[in-house]
Amino acid sequence: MAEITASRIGDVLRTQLESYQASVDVREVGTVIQIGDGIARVEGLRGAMAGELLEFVAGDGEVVYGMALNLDENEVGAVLLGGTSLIKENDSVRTTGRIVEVPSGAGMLGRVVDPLGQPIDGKGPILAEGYRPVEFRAPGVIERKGVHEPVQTGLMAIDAMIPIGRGQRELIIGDRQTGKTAVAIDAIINQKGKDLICVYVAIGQKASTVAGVVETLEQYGAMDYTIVVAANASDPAPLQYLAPMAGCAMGEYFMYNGANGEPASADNPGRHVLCVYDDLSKQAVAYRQMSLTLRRPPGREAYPGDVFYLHSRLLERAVKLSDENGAGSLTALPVIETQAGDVSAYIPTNVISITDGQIFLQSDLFFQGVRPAINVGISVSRVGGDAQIKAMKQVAGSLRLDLARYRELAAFAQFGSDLDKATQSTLNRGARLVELLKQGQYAPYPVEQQVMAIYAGTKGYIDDLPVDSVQRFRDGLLEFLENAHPEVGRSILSELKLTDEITESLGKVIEEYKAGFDAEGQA
Amino acid sequence: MRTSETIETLARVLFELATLSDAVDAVDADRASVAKTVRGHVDLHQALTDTSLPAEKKRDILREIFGEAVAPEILAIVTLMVERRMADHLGDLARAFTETAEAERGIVVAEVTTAIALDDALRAKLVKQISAALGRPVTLRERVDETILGGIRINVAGRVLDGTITSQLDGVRQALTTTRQGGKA
Repeated sequence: MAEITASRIGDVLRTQLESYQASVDVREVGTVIQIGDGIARVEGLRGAMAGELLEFVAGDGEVVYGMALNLDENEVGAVLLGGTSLIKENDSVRTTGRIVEVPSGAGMLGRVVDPLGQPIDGKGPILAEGYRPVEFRAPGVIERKGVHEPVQTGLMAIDAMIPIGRGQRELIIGDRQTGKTAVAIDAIINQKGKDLICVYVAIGQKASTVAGVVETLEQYGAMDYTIVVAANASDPAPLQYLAPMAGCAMGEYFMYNGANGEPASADNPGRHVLCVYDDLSKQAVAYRQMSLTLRRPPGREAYPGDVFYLHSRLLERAVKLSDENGAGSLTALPVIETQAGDVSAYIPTNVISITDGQIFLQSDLFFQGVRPAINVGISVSRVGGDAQIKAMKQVAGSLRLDLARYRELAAFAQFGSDLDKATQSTLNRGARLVELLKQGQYAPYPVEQQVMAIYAGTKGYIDDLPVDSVQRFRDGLLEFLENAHPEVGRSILSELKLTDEITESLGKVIEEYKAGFDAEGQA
Repeated sequence: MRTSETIETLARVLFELATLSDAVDAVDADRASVAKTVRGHVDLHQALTDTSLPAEKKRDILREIFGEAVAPEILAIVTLMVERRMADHLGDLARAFTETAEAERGIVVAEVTTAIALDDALRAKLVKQISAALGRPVTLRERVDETILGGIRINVAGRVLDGTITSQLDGVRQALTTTRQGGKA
């Protein structure tokens, strides 16, 4: 360890001060006319920019930051980002010439931060590589390309039927307690070793819930590639409003920069990012509170008129960049909580219309034991199909059809043996496929295992098994395949499609395992 | 008539009153203090905006508080505004008055804060430089504030040129307490 000497301390101070350049700064200075509810009306800031960071100087010299939102003829309406009780009328306010920005860089990985990028996990300061504005223009048409690589969530129902691609925006929607966060967390956990950086933005949640999520992510080794941005329920509304944009900005750093920290280009590929916004209905509520206290006119459900623009602006920043721009991507998984399954409320319809598809979670399915409680009938993915590997497409096509036919006839299930043979077999198949798609929490399946399990289901290998042993069969089969015939999974991964040889060997292995399994069942 | 037009009219009346009694500078110096006091004191603000309080009472309150402290022209206009339930627009009056005064007199007032009093040479230099920068004649309102330690702060046309020692020390303090590395974001 280096010795502590006066000259070394001097050197450190000198390097720190190198960046400081003494200059006479010209700033606009205004005065707080009125303050209350975290909102300040400021006069005298004629040149303030929309979204500009303002410095409020409290009576004791302490600086509190705010954000200019309403630019009126003679005054500016600003929200305070903390320290609401410190500022009084007549305090002075300075413009900073900067839009609100957050620190970004690889140092953020594994950390829990507030929406301004300050660490709240007690692990010391974060060494930022730069700062990014929270509001950033989304890339245009020319800078993008089609979504074509998959984001594997590890959940069979999603990866098979509602596939998500890198750069897609897929909404997770459902009532409370239907497992929305669980789906998102599973997706994050499944990214281990997949070269995808995750940002989990918790908005308006209990601090204890966020702590639980962080603990889970740590337990599964997912924090190494994850940033958690938390604006808890007790934080002021402006912070909750900023949180998704801040998380997006932190993610964008990785997409727009290569691994060496230089801007991404054709030779310096950008990274892939997955952003989970949990949840945007709370952000909308925080924005409504801010807007009403800023005296903006209320619209439907008292939300301001630009709440659609707020969400479309945020979600438009999800992108798959073209090769010239480094081919990075930012996938957005926004979460919306519905009230009693009402998707025709204002915010759910807005976000449904913005996103490229939605994953519907339903509480009645959840209580029937279908977990994840995804209603595959009304869930869609509008662009993810191109991102699926061929093998999955081959097996999932018939899965979707089988389940659709099952749902159509499910009402007749109570007639049991009175039904004709075709109907009975459809009902049998459907019940077993539903069982096959059930999956425990934090237990993602790699894509080759999903393909093999679904193959067994759609090719009728499980039709003659009792429904309650389907899951046991699936788990046993996958274990058997991994231990005794690992070459099948490997060849699916290398070929990326089901060739005749693979289907043949897969069929044989399933028959072989089933022979043993039936015997177990009889015993 | 819109509120803003009313305020502009009132500001013009105030300017004309001040010109008649040759007190434009005094009024200009006091213009913001009434608005500031009313804004900064919750009880006073409430009393002046309370609709159940009779106008005479409000007039008495204003006379007691500001009677000696500000120019009588300001007091008259402020009393009128409070009676007409425009107490919330006192800040606008101050702004409108400055604009009227600047437009009518064709000069801009620059507030100059220094740690020690200005000498004549420096004063002339400042007037010349600021006039050149703004393209309009400038008069200085000088202030001495020892807490800025040294340097100069010029407050003109809603902008502040801060060249004080204290603000530079603050800048150094900021640079030392926050790591803000380079890197392209």
